[in-house]
Amino acid sequence: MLVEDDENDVFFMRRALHKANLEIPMHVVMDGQAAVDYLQGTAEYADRTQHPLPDLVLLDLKLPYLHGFEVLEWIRQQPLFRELPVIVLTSSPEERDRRQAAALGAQAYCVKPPTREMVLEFLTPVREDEVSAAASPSIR
Amino acid sequence: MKCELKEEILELQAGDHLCLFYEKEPAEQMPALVPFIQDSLTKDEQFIYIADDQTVEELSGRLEQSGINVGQESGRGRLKLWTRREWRQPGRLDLQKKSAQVRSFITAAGEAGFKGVRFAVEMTWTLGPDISARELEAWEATLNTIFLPESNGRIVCQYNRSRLSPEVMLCALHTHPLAILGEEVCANIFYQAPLLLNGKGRGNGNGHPDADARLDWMVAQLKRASAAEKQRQELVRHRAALSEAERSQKRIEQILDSITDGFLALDLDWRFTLVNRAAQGLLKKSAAEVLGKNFWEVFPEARDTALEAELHRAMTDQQYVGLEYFYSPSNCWFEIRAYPSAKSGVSVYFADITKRKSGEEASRRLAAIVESSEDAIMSTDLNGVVTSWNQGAERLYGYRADEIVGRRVTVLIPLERPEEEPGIFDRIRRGERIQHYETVRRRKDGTLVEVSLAVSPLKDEKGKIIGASKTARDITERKRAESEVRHAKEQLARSNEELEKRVDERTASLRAAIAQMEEFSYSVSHDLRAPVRAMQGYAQAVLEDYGERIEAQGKEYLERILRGSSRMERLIHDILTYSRLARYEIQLQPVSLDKLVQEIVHQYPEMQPPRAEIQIEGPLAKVLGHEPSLVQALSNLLGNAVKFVPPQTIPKVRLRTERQADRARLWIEDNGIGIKPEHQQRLFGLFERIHPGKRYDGTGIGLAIVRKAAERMGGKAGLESDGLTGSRFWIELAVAE
Repeated sequence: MLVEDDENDVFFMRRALHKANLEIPMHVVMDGQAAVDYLQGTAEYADRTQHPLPDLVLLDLKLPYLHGFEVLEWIRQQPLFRELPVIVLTSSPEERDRRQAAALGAQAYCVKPPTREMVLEFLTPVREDEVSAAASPSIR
Repeated sequence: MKCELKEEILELQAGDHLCLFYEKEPAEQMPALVPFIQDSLTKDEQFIYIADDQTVEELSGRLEQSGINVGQESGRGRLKLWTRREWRQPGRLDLQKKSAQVRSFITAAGEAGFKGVRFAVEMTWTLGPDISARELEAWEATLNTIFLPESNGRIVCQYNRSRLSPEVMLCALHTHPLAILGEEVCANIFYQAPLLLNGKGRGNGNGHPDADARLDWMVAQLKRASAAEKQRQELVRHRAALSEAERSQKRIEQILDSITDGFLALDLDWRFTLVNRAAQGLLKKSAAEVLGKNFWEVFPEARDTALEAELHRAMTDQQYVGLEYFYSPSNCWFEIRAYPSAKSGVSVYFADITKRKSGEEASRRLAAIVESSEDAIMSTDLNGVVTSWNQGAERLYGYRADEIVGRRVTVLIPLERPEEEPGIFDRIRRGERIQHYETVRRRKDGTLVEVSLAVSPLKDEKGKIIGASKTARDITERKRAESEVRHAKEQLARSNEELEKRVDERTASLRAAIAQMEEFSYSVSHDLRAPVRAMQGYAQAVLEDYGERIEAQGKEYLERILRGSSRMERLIHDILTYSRLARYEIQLQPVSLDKLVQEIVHQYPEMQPPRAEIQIEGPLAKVLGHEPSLVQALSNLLGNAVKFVPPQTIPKVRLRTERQADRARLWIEDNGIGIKPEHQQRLFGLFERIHPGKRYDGTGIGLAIVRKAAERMGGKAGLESDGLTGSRFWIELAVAE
């Protein structure tokens, strides 16, 4: 699941996936509240055949309604989603954001735009069903 | 008794004829004979001893034991120890012959140079049939004619009662004027010798003397004996009286010696007649030194003093006098009392009062101190009755000494505090001291005064607590000052509180403002970045996905788009950095420039060989700075140094630090294109670029960031360049110790 409000960034993510030859189903929600609803299965996301639970969440920070960190916090509070891999994908190279992400339990912190290499790096472990515990910061 | 015998022996005179009776042993004679012999030897008279009852050896031994050097004296001829052989004439006792013999001995002694001669004859030589008692009697009587005062001879005839017959003994008694019986020399009342001798002429046919004459004689003898007895008794009494007198004197002296006062007695001529032991000690003169001497000769320094006047007054007016006198040889003060001594002079008693005097002196001083003290000083007895009151107390309380001495000190206590005094006195009785007791007292005029009291127990010389001594100090002024200080302090505390509150508020609002700004710039940069990112992303995507289908021109447009957006991104980054520098609270820490430079160079390939040579000269100083800002500034400077070089030139950069006092200047010297002096002014301004972007890329913010960073770290940044031979940029910061 990609949580991202900027449609350009959504485009770039899809493109990166395409470039990496990774045909993974990606569902997009465009604000923080939607992300929570999706995961909870409320409102329009009730139908799990339409909206299956993700194996990985790519989370932007600057989101409408709920900030990315709030979403992350929520996710980690749910017993169901404690182990759900979350990668923070943001335009901010700020050290403090990076730290905050790690503190809140994000698996990785990546700075936009996503490149082919980046995608390969954080998606491959998921594909193999492994969860990377350490945050792997990348600097552009 | 023996001394008396000895004395009597010594009182014997020339011409004395004595008989000595002893009971049995020759040794009994010695107490009388030894002094007799010693006296003779001392007086250089010859002594002839006829030993018969004892041997010469025995006699010699006895004499030696008594201290007579027999050998020596015999050698000198002064002592002759004979036996009857030298004495007894052969045949019957012939009076004339014997007399002549004896006289010859006497003469011989005189011719030998002796002052006299003495005989001691042990009469046992008469034992034997040759001599009858009557003949002996006659001989002895005759001896009285030989031994007369002018004859310079004496004789003792010794009779052993256990060996000689009573008749012989009787004869002895009749014929010797003096008799030594036991321990006494007696005048012999039975002495009849003259009668006997006279009787020879007149006697009847039996040879017995005339009864009448005998009677006369006996009466006369009795009278003589009686007189002698009386005389003896008189002597004894006299002696007793004398020794009694002596004993009295001794007792008096003992008493005088036992007293601690000095005592001396002076007679009418001012001569010392008595000086007791204490006087000798006090005057440092012994009795021997002064007895008999004149007082004024012994103490000439006393002349022309009050002492002289007073003593004379005592003597002449027969009056008791007393005075205090300083005696310099002992460095002490005496109290002298002189009493006239019953027309025989003057008796003087004196005692050392130096201690008392210094005590008096000390007392006077203390009293003066107390009186003159500013503080109120008073004393009371254990009932609180005032016993002393100084001027200070008068001033403080308004009562004069005569108004309050004798009254209870409770008169000073205000009605509201009645419990104080008992409490104070209880503590005093326990021997406690009270200090800094602050309380209130009432003056005579009724006004109240705040005082600080110090109370301590007063003890007599035995250490018993007999009262209290109090010092009171007026503390009104002090109290006032104290309360003023207190008020001032409170005010200060209040002001401080206010100030702190205000500071807190300001800080809070400042923080809030900063936080807001932080939020703002954060959002701004994020929002500014997003479209830029989009531009870059799409341009990149077109190039990548459709690159083959686009002509070179088209590709170039796209690349310009990319470049522009990239630049935009850099600008945003730099602006953000700059604004952050301006806002951030910077905490200065020691930073190692060496480490920092190496890290920066490590990060940028364009700063590493072969593309550039960056040389660090010597260890760079450690400075006080903010690491992230310093990283930023140095990255910019080093980046510039390797960027702004003439074409085809390898940039060579040299770094070194210069120390001056507590400041360090980091020099970054390059071999670049330099900056002409006229351009240097604007260089550090925001968005200022000297060279066209075509030749050298840059945002124009880099150096502004450098300068801002330096300023925020409490330092400066600048450059030197002639515009031809490269530039020398510097940052100056505080040295970290």
